[in-house]
Amino acid sequence: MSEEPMPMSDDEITLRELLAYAYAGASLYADDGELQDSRRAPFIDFLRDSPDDIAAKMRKRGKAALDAAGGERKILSDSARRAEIGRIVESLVAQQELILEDDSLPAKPRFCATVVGKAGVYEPTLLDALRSLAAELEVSGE
Amino acid sequence: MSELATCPICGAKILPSVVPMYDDGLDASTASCFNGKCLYRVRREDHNTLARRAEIGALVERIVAAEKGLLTIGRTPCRDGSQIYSAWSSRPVGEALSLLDALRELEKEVCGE
Repeated sequence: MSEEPMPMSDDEITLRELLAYAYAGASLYADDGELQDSRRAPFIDFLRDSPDDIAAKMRKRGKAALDAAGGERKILSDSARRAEIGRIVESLVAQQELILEDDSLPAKPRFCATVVGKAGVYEPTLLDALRSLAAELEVSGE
Repeated sequence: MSELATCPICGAKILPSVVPMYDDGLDASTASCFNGKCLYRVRREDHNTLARRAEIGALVERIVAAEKGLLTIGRTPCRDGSQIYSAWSSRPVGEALSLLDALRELEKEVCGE
């Protein structure tokens, strides 16, 4: 015997509508009073799914997106690395013209960072090249 | 209060918060990512600096990877005390009032829109 769903209050319906529009935007299927997001699995029915089901489906989608991007840890480490590259570039450029080059050979990544009048610093990553150059020039840039 | 830049991790909006981030007695307000799946949360006063540097780093990485040759980034002080930043790969691309804008222009040129 199937269980009858509890009737929803007007406030709950309003909140579900707001959530549906905020989450799915123009992709929301809202014809005939429906509130469905079928852009990708798992499909979300903002009228019939329970709040726990909606949250679980959103988490599943979020995890799939994170995994597709390489995982949470990779995203965090990418951002931290880029923030450090940005910090060193800012501090070096404040003093001198900075020259960067991807000087990689097949199967041997090598990046060069230098300023005018100095020999280039070669390292296997762009960040290491910038770190070495900043250390050589005694630029901290905190 | 200056506008908060978007999240350097996922690009979502950032919400200011009055809830202290650390129990250090300073009551520092925080900037938290609006995206509930994103872990990003820092002191509000640090956020725009961190977001700008992360974008500079991302642009530099993309440009260096896309264009073989030298990426040169320079700063020219002006007589009125301001400064102009330039970034060029094979040839100069525009001049901008910030390093970030100069790199954004160069990225468009090198990597396409």
